[in-house]
Amino acid sequence: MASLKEDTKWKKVLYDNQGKPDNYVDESFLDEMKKNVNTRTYELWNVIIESGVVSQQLSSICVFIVAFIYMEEDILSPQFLLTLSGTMTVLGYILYGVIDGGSEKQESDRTRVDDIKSVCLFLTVTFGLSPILKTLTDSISTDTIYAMTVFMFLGNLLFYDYGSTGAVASNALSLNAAIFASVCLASRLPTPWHAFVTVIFAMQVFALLPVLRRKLKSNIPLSQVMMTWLLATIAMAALFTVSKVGAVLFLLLHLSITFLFPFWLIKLQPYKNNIHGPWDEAVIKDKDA
Amino acid sequence: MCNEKVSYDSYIVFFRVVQSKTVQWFVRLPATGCQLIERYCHIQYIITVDKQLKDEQRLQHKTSPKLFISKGNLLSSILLDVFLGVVVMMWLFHNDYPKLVSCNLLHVLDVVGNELQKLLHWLMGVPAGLKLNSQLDEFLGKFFLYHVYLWIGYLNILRPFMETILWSIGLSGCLGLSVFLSLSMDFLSMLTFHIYCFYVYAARLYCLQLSGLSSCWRLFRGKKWNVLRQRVDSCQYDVDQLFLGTILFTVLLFLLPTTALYYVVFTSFRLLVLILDSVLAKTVTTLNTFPVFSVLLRLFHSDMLAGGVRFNVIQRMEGQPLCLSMQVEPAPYSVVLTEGKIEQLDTWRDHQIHNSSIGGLSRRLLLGHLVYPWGGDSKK
Repeated sequence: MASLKEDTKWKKVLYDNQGKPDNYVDESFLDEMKKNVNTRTYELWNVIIESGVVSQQLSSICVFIVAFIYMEEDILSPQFLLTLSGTMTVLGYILYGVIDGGSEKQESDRTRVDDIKSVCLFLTVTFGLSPILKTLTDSISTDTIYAMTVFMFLGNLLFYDYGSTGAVASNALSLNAAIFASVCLASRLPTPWHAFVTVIFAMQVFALLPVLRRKLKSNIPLSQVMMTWLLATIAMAALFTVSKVGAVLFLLLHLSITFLFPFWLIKLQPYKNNIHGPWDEAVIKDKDA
Repeated sequence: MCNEKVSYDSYIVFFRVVQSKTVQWFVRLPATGCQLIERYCHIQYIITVDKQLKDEQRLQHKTSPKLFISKGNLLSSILLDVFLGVVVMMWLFHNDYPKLVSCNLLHVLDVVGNELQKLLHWLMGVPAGLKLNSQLDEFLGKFFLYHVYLWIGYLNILRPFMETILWSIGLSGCLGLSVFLSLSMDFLSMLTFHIYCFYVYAARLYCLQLSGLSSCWRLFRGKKWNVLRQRVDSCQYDVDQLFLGTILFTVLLFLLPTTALYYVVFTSFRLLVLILDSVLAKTVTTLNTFPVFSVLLRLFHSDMLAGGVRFNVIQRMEGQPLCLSMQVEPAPYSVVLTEGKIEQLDTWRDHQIHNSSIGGLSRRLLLGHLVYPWGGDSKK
């Protein structure tokens, strides 16, 4: 006599023959779905303050470009720029040492002698190569040079390491793009001495200044806002003397980066719809990490 | 007794020197050397095969047809070679070609020298509207112009000997047409030596610049070539390394069009010469490997070359078993030509990398690696 099987509730196991095909699911299917588990919630003022990093970088680029324009129009003499930037670098170096309190110096292997060696290396190499750099792009038209410069500075903005762990950020690529752009611009100037000063100034603005900014941000969080507004004011004043349209554009861009974009980001948060569930691929988490 | 020992020792020393690697390599450097050594190997082989055949006959064994045919091939190839060479020589001397050719050749070489100088001056200006770096352009142009000047001087030294050289090349036809062709190949190489030099300079410079550029491009992106794993890996560079690398990258990038232009111009010249060279080399190889004796056997004595059997059914009668008649079929010509091909007996050096494929050749040209003449028989 055949015994009737009871109609038991379907269990999500495969080792029990429940008379259903292997890929059967019943109405409890979507119960295990979770929404938006890993999303972060943003606070408006935090985002506004953090967005200062982007506008700081933008301001440095604008300052550099204005300095180049001044040198080309012969308003600014290269000696003056060199002494000014040299003094600022030395001051920044002392400031870095003061804020640091010696902790990072002990962590990394670099001593003061190493730093002096690097400085000598930069100066010698650039001075030696400056005649070549000056005549490098003689036969290329100015428009091409300007286009390449713009492209490279955009690359610098894009790939700059703003402090997040985004995969796109690449410290090497951003610095290299900035140096490439500065070499392109340097070749348009009258003498090798101009080219030398431009490249050294670019080195200070794009390689050394970000280090100081990062150190300030990590040790004295309050200085972030001040730094942002200081750089923005300098950039805007400089742009204003060169071209009014540029200054207005910069002001608009700065305001949107600081206020408009964070506001927009937060406004779009409710539309997030990330679905997680047991169907996701397993992610192996390192216990030590 | 003492004299005999001295001469014996010196003979051994001479033998050892000749067997050494340097001398062997040096002798095979010109094409004529290779060809003469190949013929020498052929003759040696014929003598050994002859001895083998005589031994077999003495011991009443069956003579293997393969040895007989290969010996025949070699002998007939040498004979045909010498015959053709003598014909060409007679024809050349009958029409007094050496004098005519030498006059024309000298005239052509002068014209080529002048044209080269004009070309270099054009490259130093603004060629075809291309934008070149003027300093580097001038430097390279002056460098190559000095070499052309040296080459014109070298030609002037060669001028009185030209007719004698051509006459002796023609005379070498009695050693065989292949030797004549190899000598003309060597003579051509000697005349176009400056083009070879220019090509090597331009190719090496271009290759160096390209490899430096690719390395700096990897640094630009923050990556490095991992030699151990033979792949591109990311790398944390120091600030000074980044700085130097970027400056070098810029310099190399903007100087690349100038170098590339010189490379393209001189590579095209070199390719022209190589094509001529390869045609001659191919002819020499064909003369060396064509199995004349096998083809003649196939024509006149085809039952020596068996290529299969053919069965015919004999008229069947009642109550008798099936009778078949077997006939030996001679081999088809394609098999005769491929099987009978004379192998290269000079096994001393493996031939250089032959770019027989178009893809490989274009890749080598694009990357600036040196290309070598092709058309000889590569060892399988």
